[in-house]
Amino acid sequence: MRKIIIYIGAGFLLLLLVWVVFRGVQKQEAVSQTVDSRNQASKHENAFHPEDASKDLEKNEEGEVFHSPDPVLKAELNNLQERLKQNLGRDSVLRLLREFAQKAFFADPDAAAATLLEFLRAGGDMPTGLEFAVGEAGLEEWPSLRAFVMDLLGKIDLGAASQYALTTVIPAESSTVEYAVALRIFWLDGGAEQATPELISSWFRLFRKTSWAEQPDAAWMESLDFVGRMPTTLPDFVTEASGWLADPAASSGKAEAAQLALERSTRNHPVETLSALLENPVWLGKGRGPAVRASLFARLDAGDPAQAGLLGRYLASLDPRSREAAAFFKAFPYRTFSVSPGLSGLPDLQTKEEIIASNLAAEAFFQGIMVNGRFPLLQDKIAQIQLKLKELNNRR
Amino acid sequence: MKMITSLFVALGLWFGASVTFANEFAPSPVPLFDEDNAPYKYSGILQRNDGLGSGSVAIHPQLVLGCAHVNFDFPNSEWLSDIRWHWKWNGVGLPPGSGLLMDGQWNFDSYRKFVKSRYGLLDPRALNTDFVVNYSTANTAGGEYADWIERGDLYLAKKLPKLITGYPIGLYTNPVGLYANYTDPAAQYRMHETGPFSTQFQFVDSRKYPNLMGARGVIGGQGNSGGPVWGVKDGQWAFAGVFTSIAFDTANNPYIGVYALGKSSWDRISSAIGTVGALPGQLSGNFLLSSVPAQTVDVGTVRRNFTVSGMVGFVDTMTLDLVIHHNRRSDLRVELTSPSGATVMVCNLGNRTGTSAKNLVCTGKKILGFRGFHANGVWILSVKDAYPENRGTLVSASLALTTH
Repeated sequence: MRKIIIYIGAGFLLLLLVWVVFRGVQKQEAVSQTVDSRNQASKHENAFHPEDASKDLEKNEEGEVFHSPDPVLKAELNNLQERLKQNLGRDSVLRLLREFAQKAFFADPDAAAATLLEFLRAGGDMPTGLEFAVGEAGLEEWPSLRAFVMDLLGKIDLGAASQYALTTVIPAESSTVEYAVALRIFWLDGGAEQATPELISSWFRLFRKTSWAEQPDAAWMESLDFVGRMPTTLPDFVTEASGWLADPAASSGKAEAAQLALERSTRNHPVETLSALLENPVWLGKGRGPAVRASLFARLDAGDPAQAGLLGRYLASLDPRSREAAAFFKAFPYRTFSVSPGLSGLPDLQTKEEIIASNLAAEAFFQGIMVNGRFPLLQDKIAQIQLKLKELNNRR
Repeated sequence: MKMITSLFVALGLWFGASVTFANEFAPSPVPLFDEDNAPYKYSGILQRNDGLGSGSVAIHPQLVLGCAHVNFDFPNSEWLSDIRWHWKWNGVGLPPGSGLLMDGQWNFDSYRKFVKSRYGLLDPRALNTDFVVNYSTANTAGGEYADWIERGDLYLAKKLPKLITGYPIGLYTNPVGLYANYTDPAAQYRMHETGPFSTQFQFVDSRKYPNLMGARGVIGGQGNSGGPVWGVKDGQWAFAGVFTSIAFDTANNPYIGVYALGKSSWDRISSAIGTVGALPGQLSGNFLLSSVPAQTVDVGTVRRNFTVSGMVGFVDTMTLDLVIHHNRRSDLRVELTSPSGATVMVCNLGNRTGTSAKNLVCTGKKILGFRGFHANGVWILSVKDAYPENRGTLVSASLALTTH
């Protein structure tokens, strides 16, 4: 009996020893490297990335399969990091990044994801000399290697990328660039159709971080694209945007960016966006604001009963002598759009058939107003719109 | 003046401010009735409702391409709505009639562009993206449109024939400077041409401004902005870039600037064309699997092929519609493999960490990672079911892609 107890005790001690050694190796691997402070484009306020390895290890402890990094891809990533130290030109850097991405796509997806995650967990980074640029198929330029690796991870294992972003990037709030990449990953992980709670809460953290908002960089500006996908942000966003548009020169470009965000919000969620503006007339009330508001209401589609109702309410609210009224009647039907891709994808443009149907509906809508004698002080201006709509509708 | 200086500084980097030269090529009126011939018949004036005008070119039955710098000054929003297109106007005095009322514009403003607030009228950063697409639901040029040279930048850099058409005095009623002698109203609204010439254009700074090129010894005028710069393709004049700017050196010699068609600018134009409907067989395609018999998805991997053919160029965007009926979608992992063998994960649900929800339905799911790949060939859709307990059916799948 005593022998058995001794054997069990020895076995237990041996297991404990193995566990301690194993943990020690893991901790060594997780030691962070210093983020290169030369990364100007990315607002790295704090190079330290929290110990996130344990979060992902939980996944393994829950019984899922553990995937080892791909040693070849890992060597390629180290090589890439070394090459970036050589201050190469833009084209060379883009070629190197593309080549690495191809290698990652060719590798086993689980091993590739493990390789990228290991790099991110270790906290390594290197400036690329590129800008933060969004293209039709996602990010086209990444100012830092970490941003590139995160974005690539999102293409290979969206779930892992999302988990990493949620547990590490968002709490750290150390880089607008990584934060913007994280928002895009959340958007894709949610199916790129509806904003997830993670995306909404993370976006608000970015929007409300004063030090970022006061000196917005490209990544922060591009993140405003999610306003167009999340009507719940409108009260906070439009309140701030009203201040920017009241004095655009002092807004560091945020007034123009807000205008673009509102354009897309109106296109994606016309009823939610414009109802909110009608219910809060103080919004967009100063400076350039009223002209922007006019341009948004001039986008309404009278073919949709809910939007037609909003159009009627807006006309009822207009001072016929105001500059806003002049801007609205000049612009309607307003179909000028920015077609540049955003972090949430390409804007949804009106098709030829939609435009034709909308113009016909608008003509009928204003004809009804003229017949009923509504808005007597606006009749002259409505007659001008009618002429324009007739011209558009009769030319086919 | 400050804005002009900024362009001059940028151009001066390349030209050298002390260089002087003769104006070798200046605009001259296009002979009357020649406007029915190419390339003049693709040119025209875009006119805003207070009368000012700008050059432009039809590049699609419903698209007219012009310059964007007139739009950059937001409070002056006259250029953003109520724009009319006067096709191949080459007469005496103002164009008669009202022209074609355009439906709207697509511009290429992006959020990041606003970081330094809007650029000045002649800032190279602005000129580098200096074009807008005016669109119409009606035909703009009788259904005709100009052919183009996709790498206009490479063409313009060579000693090859070039031509500029447009309206150097445009609808500006008080021409100044070099054009003060254009006081004859009969000439003022005439279509003009500069060239043919073979002067080589040079990049202002190809790294910073990949679309902006300039040339010396060739001049245009204020209303030339937006007008086409032509090169020769297959023996015909073809569109190679948009006239964007004019600046002067210390000796009052003018430089012209051009937004050249190039790799990145072509992306934008092909995107705009794709929005109104691609040219047949050239720019987009939709490849359906829905007509093949449904296939059982059980433990193991099901592979189906998309055979893509007849596409020109390389993958630009790719989207997938997919319907898989399955008792537990978190058993599934879906991948797409290119003809060259590269594989991208479409959905990685095969780890059972998700919910036990049924059925996997993707609509318009953007497939990332294949941009720049050859489009033609066999694309393989793989659906892997990692667990034996549940089974399902691959009901339908379709792949849509555009190329550039």
